[in-house]
Amino acid sequence: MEKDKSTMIAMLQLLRKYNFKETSELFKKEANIDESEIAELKPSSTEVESVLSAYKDDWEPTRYDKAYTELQKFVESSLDIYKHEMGTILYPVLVHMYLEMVYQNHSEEAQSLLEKHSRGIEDYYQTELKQLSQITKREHLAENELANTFKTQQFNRRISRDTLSILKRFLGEEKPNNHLLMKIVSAHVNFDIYEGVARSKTQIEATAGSLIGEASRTDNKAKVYYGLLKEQDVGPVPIATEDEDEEVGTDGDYRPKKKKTKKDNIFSKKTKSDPNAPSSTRMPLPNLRDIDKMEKRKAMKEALKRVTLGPDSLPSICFYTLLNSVNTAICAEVSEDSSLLSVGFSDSTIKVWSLVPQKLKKMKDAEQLADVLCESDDVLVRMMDDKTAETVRTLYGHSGPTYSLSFSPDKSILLSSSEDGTVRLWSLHTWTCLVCYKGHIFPVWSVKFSPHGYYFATGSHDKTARLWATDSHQPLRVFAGHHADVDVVQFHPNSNYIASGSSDNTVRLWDCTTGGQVRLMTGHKNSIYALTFSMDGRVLASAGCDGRVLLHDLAQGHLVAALSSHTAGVYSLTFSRDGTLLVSGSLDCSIKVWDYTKLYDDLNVEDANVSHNPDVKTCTDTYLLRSYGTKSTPVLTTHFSRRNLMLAIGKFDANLS
Amino acid sequence: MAEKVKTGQSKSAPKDAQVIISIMKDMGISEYEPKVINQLLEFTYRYVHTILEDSKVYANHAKKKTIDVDDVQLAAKMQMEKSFTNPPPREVLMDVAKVKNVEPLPPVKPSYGLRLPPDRYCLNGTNYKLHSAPSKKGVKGGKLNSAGYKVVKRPGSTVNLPKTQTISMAKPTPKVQPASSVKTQKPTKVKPMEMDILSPDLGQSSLSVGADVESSLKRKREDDSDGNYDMS
Repeated sequence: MEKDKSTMIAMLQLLRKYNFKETSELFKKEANIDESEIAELKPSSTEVESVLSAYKDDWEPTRYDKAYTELQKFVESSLDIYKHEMGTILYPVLVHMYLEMVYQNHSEEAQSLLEKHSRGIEDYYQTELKQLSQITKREHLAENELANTFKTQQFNRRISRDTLSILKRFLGEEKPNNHLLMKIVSAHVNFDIYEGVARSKTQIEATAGSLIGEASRTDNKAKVYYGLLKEQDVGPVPIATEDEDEEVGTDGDYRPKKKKTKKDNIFSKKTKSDPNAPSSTRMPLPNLRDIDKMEKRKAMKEALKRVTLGPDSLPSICFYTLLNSVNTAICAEVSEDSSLLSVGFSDSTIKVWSLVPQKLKKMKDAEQLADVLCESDDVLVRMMDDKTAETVRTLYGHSGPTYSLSFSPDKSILLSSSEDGTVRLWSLHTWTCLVCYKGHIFPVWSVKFSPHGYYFATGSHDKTARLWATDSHQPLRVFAGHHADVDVVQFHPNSNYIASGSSDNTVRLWDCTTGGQVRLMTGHKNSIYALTFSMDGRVLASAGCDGRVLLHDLAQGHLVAALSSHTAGVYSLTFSRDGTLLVSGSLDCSIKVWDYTKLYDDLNVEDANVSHNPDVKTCTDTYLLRSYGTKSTPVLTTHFSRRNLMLAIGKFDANLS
Repeated sequence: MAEKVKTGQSKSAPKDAQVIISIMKDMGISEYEPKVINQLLEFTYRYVHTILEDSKVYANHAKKKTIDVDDVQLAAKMQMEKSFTNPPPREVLMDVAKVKNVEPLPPVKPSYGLRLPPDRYCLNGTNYKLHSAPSKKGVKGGKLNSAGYKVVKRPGSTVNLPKTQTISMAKPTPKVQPASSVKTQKPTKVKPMEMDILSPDLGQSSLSVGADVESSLKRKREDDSDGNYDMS
């Protein structure tokens, strides 16, 4: 009775708050409330919000079950075209019913509800449901990350206007349980309405699977400058190779950027400026040093001797197998010029091998360096001590497993990230640790150098990705927004953007200059472990634990292709140097080669409009060119040399054979 | 890598191990290395042990003879705050990011060598400082080298010196020479303050949670037993 009274007083206060004078007077009369009572109760418990929220507690646990069953029946009995789209709300409704019941200490009923209905939910949500089923007490709710995510974030769903109106009609019907459903749906599901025909099952499944539903249109509205930067002048290139250049040149879209520059240098100073390219001053980039220019010239020379790849000329693969390291080797990385290989181990060491006849030398110490002639041409060679030449060197310094490695473009430094929450910068001249970057306090899963050097990006267990510069001990940018660990980061070829893949099953693109999120891409059903940009910077490929390779068009953030052929997680994705092939290396002991040229032609990227996700290309067979099997060796890394020879690294697992 | 534990194996396992196995099964984990069981057993033992120790202290403090549920709950709560840390919530991170990201990206400084942070954040500098010896004492105490500096060694510190100190080529690095050529002072004569370690955390950051928590807990417990505040 006391409670009723306070509720009524709360109602009265609400009416007064919104200035419904007559209604409140009437209400007061009818409910028999004295002014004195109002004053009496005011300080204690008539806080409007708290009383209204108390309504939540009034549901009987059995009503949830009934309500859900009714909803399920309604979805199943509705027209086929609306059925699937409507079905997408079942999952969030079930989750929130469960959480609410647990909150009200009806955990047994909650468990039975989940058990009964979880079979009707899509496969890719089962792991999350399993995790949720471990929450059985109110205290667990506060500590559980997953529950917090659901509580704070609305589940986003794209839905056609027609479907939504049918759904609303159903929820608006005068049935005892609909009020409950309506409440959950309106509080926790966000509908992104679009005009047109409701989507089919495959269309919905293509972009479903992430922790927070799908990307809404507003997420992907910002303009992304996905074009490539104009290359900086690197000086003359030997003219003698000019003829070869013509032969190697392929179709304009895939012309490697380096060659373009070369032509520009020789023929004209004017370049066709790409309307989608960011201006070169958008982000401060380091100037090319002499040593960088030398490296670029070398790369261009090599590029001229590049083999053109295609469906008829598949790449040769040189596979490096790591023996006796199946439980210790974690990551591997090959330098851009394919001369160095580094492997990170779980005992916190890093090993660097030389893949070329030149051995790894140490720089002479200060006293001997004084004797080196600075004017001589081979000063860089003379600086090195021949006596210290070795084929493999080990770097010690981390205090936890090394999860990721990245060489700088000039291969003079190496970055490593580790479980101890630090990123270390190693000099490959002195073979010592130069800097220890502290900022993440949790394990750092991924580190990546920018293609222009100087900047690097990290992704960590603390749900952020960060941008750093080598000369700053603190991060320059913090990219927060993911709901779970950031497992992988990748730089856009123009260094203005960073893509990050996370355990919340989303891929996001961040603007380095503003630190804002500019793209949100969904479609993965599990964690994402590999990201790579196409050579022209337009398409982002992602792959992960679910074994699928997804391609996203950065212009609108649409999912454009889903290639599923791998049977285990994919840890490595690489485009060939001429951008004609996409290669994926997986834990299922295979490397698969995809025909990207054909795929790109089929995409029709130009006519995709903003409102509609184009049809997702899923015909795997047409694009899969070849699958190379390894001998019980899960693939860690794939890499293309400058001449398009493929290098792959894997660790032999005797248990698999 | 992951080896399925056969059911036959689990039959012969001790009861505690079987409990762990069934918990894993409940959680839907079917493939794991056999060592995982041992690790979890160890963890359980250690965790329960510390919780009970703590609750004993709390019970003592409240002048109770036996440990009751409240004591254990309090101990568990205290432990929870220390040993199981989650990353900060997303909203906090977003706020941090907002503050950080308004600063424009700094311009790239023109440089021809490696772009490294200021020396104190690097590991390649010398991690000792040289004091110019006071003229009177210096003559008596030890021989001066040509630069007029006295090389001071901190007892026992040479072992921990990272190799990195030799690479700072730009700076003339005074070498620490063996005792035969330059007579260094005996450690006993040196005041410990004379040597400043410049980069304090060169080695491994101490992330070994177990030890840390243990020691801090001990401190905590001592505080508690002092009876500075009243538990009730």
